[in-house]
Amino acid sequence: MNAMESVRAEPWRRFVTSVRSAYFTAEVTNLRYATRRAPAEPSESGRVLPQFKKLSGFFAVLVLVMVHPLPAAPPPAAFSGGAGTVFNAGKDAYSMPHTNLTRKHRREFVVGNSFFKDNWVTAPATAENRDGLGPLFHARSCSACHIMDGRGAPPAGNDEVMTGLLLRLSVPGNDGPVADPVYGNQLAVRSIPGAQPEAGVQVHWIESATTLSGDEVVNLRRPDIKVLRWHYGDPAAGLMIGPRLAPPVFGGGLLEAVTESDIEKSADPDDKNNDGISGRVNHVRDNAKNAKATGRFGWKANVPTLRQQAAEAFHSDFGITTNERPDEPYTVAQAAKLSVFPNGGKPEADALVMDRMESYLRGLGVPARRNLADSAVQRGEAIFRKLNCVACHLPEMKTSGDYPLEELRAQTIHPYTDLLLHDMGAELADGRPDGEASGTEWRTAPLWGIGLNAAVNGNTFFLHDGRARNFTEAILWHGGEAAASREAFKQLSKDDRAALVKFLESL
Amino acid sequence: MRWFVHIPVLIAVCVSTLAAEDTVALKKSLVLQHAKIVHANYSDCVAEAKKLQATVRDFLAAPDAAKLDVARKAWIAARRPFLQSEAYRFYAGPIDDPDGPEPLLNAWPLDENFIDAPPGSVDPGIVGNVRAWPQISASLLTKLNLTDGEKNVACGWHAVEFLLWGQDRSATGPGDRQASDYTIAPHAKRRGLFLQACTDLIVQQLADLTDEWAPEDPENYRANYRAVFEEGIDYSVERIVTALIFLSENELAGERLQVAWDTKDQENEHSCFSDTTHQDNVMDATAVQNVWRGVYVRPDGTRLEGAGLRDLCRAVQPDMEPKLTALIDGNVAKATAVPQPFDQAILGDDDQPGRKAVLALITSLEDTGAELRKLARALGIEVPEVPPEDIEG
Repeated sequence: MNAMESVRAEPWRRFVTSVRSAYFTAEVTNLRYATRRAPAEPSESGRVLPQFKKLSGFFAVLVLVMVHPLPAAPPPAAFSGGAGTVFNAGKDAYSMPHTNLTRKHRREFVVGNSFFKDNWVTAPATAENRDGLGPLFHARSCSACHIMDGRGAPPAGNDEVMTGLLLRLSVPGNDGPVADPVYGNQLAVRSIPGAQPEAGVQVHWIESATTLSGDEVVNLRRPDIKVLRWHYGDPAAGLMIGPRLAPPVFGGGLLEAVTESDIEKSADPDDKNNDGISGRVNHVRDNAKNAKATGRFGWKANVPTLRQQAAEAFHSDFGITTNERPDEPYTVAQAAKLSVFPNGGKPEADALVMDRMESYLRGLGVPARRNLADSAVQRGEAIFRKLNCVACHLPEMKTSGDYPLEELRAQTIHPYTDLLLHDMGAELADGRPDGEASGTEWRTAPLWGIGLNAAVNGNTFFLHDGRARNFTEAILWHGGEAAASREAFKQLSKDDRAALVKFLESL
Repeated sequence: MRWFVHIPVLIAVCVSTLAAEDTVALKKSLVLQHAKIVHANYSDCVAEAKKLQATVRDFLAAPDAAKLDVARKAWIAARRPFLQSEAYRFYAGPIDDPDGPEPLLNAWPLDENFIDAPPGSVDPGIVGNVRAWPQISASLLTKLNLTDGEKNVACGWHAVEFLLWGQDRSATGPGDRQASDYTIAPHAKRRGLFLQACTDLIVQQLADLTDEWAPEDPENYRANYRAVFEEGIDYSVERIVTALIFLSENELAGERLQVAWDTKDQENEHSCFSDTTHQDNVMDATAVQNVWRGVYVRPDGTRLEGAGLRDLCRAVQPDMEPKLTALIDGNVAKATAVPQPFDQAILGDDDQPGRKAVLALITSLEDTGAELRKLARALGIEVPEVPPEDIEG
């Protein structure tokens, strides 16, 4: 167990409000380990004078404490999520609130969590706040796909009904792509009893191979997605399908707290600095403000706020209506077959549920970095910079001083994203434009916490459709603006490539 | 300068070390007493569930209102030992290890339409869907819980509750299912088979849990737990403490009480069909108290008494014990003091007596969790912030 992992005992996290107190907690934790070892001696000393026993114990510990090297404080770089960074490297690393939330905010977080993980049920049910599922839906709860607040897994193949992966749909319109007139903008692979799902989907994986320096051969795979059995008639001509893996949801509050001007500042739409990297903002509609806003969430940064993201997911993933999306989750073309099913109230998830969902998404903290003192990690970080990965995966951002959740204000964070769109090349493209995002552009995925994906989700499926099975494959799919970095990666020595992966695993 | 910072730490560490030396034997008796209590508690769960099974069988043989009432009372009685057994959750013990019955026994919220939809529904649910499921049996229910790779549970305590009480559409009382649902209503016979199958499953699952904790079985969990504790007793103590923290802080204060208090949704309560959430709260608070005091009172009044966590606390952190005892006893008192029924208590303005009482209970449980975490720290135990959840969905 390394030093950072030993700091993961949570009770201390509450006191971790500054680096200074973090230093203190690290010591306490370490001392605690000292005490754990101390009582190993046999306790047949019952006949010894109690006072003497007490003194001997005291001195034993004193000696232990004195000879025990004082651990170094976690360096500022460990605090990926600012002051509220979560010191937990276990299975629940993505599920923890920012450590500095007030009791009131923790309580709101807890309520939101229950709506995140509990199933929505069919209406009419006795639990009125939890009914209205469907009639078409993708999953029964947020956590069905965002497993442990982390990442979904793509289907392994064959006829498995998709959960961690979903399909976005659109067709060409006069003024850019629009939703399919029959199936809307998302395919529902499930339905409540009595209704039919929209279609079945078959995914199979096409393998290819690429060779890195030192003759290391890496197998890559990409999905071949077939929609079978359209149950509500044919979709419109020119249908575009965009697969989307459920991304981790932690840290969203901090990303929401970055100011629009900070995001715009790193944009370079016309590549004026000639570094081959553009970086564009997806200007999308903020429905609450009825105004244009900077897109931040979603694989194409097509949503500006967590609340809007949640409302869209409630609508398209569960068929749950909200004040934000009061319309039923089926199209006019489907209404004849689907409007017969009772709804769970209007809206089904009321303002309070959405308030708490927002509190939950804002409240999820970011796990701390680990193994910063490891020389391979340090070398990997240098390579990450040298390969110019940092041009898009920005190591540092600041949050606004007037974000609604005050615990998240004015923090220095390490999300490793610029929240901007980048052309990632034809091989990774889904060919489905979304707002100002083209068919080849993707938002830079935040890398914070990514090293814990294996611990939390038991896998390392990355990229928008989960095609990458590990860090190396994910890097090798980087094309377009990232092609130069990818080629440089392929030319690295095997050792250096391993060091780069070590660095990613430390995030 | 640095040493000033260390002094309080040093004192704390030394005190706890001295205490730990004195308490190896105490830990041993605590762990053994715990295993004894767990086994007795689960045995009582089985005995009470068997009584429920008998009343259900009796009711279904010739359904009438009086027998339905007897079955309902048996359900309420059977919940008492079961809720007390919730203090043995949250540490990947037999109840909630990956193959454990917890998700099937205690799933909430229940999708009642999936089981038995009200008249006029587009889909009749499992009970009414003869074509899809011609035979209703315990094995069918187990299988259906895995439907389309997601959790959609059709069995457990709350399924039986729903089948005995029906949907709670009343503002003031519980569900009002009529015995005729089991005589002349459509699919009466199948509804009865469903109820019977669900009840049988509960008995079976509880019996399996009891076996895992039975003494003198070299293969079961308890044997392993003992083996583990002989290797490193702190591991077993860690589990005992962890469970209490999660039951007080996360499960009861958070998931069950805070959510209901905050949403004021009358049916956002644990036992929403029978309106017996008040009992749930009292029994869960009692569950914590049992382990703290090392005491368990069986349904027949027999008292099992032995070393509790409180004794360990007295030895290790004597100054923490009075506060913790006051909090833990206070939880039971505060849960009892919440006006009945619980779904009425959560309504109204925040200065309503019911809402104040529920909030007082929440606060007390949160404080209990925080104090227990301090104790855990003193015992050198690492407790995760949130319980190890199963993969949800």
